[in-house]
Amino acid sequence: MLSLIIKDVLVQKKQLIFAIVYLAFVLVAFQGMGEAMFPMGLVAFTYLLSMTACAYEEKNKAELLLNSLPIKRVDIVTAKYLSMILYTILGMFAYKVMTTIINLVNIPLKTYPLSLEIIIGSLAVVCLMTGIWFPIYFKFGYMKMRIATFVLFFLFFFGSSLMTSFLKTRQDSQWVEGIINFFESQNDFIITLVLLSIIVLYMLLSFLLSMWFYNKREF
Amino acid sequence: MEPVLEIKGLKKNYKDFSLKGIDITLERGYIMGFIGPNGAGKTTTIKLIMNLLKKDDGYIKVFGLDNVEHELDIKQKIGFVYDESNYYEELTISEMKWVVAPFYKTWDDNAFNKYIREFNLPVNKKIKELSKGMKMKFSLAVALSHNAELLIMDEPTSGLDPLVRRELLEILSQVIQDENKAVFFSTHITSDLEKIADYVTLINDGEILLSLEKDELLNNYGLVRGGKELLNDVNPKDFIDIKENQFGFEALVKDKNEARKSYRDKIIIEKPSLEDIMLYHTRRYKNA
Repeated sequence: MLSLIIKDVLVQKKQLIFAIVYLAFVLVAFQGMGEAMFPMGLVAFTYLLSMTACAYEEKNKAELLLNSLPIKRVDIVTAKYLSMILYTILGMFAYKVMTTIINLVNIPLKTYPLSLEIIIGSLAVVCLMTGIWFPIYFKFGYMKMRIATFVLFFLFFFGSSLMTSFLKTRQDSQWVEGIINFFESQNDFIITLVLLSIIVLYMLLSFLLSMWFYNKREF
Repeated sequence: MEPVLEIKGLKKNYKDFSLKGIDITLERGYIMGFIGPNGAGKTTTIKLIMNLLKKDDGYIKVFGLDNVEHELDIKQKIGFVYDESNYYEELTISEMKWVVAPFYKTWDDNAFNKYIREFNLPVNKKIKELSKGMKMKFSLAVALSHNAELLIMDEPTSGLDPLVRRELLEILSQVIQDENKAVFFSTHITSDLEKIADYVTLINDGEILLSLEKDELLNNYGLVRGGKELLNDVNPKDFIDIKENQFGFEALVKDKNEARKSYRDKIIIEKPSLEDIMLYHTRRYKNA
């Protein structure tokens, strides 16, 4: 399992450097976005690395190799999810190092500390996306997933702005108010816990779906 | 002792092709050549053995164990070489070894290094920089470095120059000195098999046409030539297939002694090559 994750990193050494440079670019270029710049950068970072790893599997027809070795299919799926978590941690670490350097050297750039809120928020966005990509990837392979991703991106960005305006117009409706009231009346700890549970549950579901698809795959 | 590989009634259906319930048995200590034209079902059969495809019916036993139920135990003892290298082109040979080795409980680093030296493989070169022959040799080195008892090769020689092909065949005959091992070797280059195979299995359009000891096959079958005048007198049933030409005909018979008895000195009988046997069999199939 470990060697599958390391393999994913090894095949994309160059992309890893590129992704870190990209993160630095986001830090400089999206100063206007405020706190939201980190989740955005992180999603792009994780997306880039996860997708490239999948692309290399397809390019090398490596599924034939992996499934001919004595490896359980569940391990192949698990490794992809774990590498995604690894990229997320790596992205956070890289961000932390960059902001520390910026502050130390007094570069005139605004930085935002990695608060729990930001970490959970970023994690939620990363999981929301990868949780859909992976089942599609394990069912159809990389090429078809790319098309799905394209659609997904649009739905995601349009959807979230639609959702925001929808919620704004319905602020008085009972269930929206109920949800808002619930969050307002709880302390941060509970909110974090609820959000984390939702993320974990969602990812678990995504994982089971991926597993189910991959077990049925033919190569 | 149970056969290394036992396939019974294996079926796999596709829209435009199906494997029609094939049987294959391979004992330890032997090399079986699995021949047939492109699209005959060779790769499908191999993928079914490796559980890359799901069978529709029948069973596959490797080392006496069901290939799906005991998939991982079986794969520990299988070495595979496919027609294309499926290794990550971005990795170097040593990185790739590093990824693959931990999966095998009986990985033998000394054996691997020995093969790498023997094959003159540059360990620090990326796989995409290797020639086709070198890629095949790398696959072979991996296949031979974990004490595999069954080597499965899907067209390993296709696209290779005669020199590398000869080298591969020499290595295989060394491997088979160990009587505990067996090799299942698919190819459409039949001349490779004339040198090393003990058994030959011919598949065409998803059906096994014959599965025999190679020597028996080459000694019993005969390539018959006869004049035009004989064409009207011959019984087509005596031949696997007849090819007419300007001067007469050429045909393949299953039992050359029978043919000699029936036609005496009206015909000339020669020893066929595996290629002749494959061509006549598959053509009959087409003409039928």
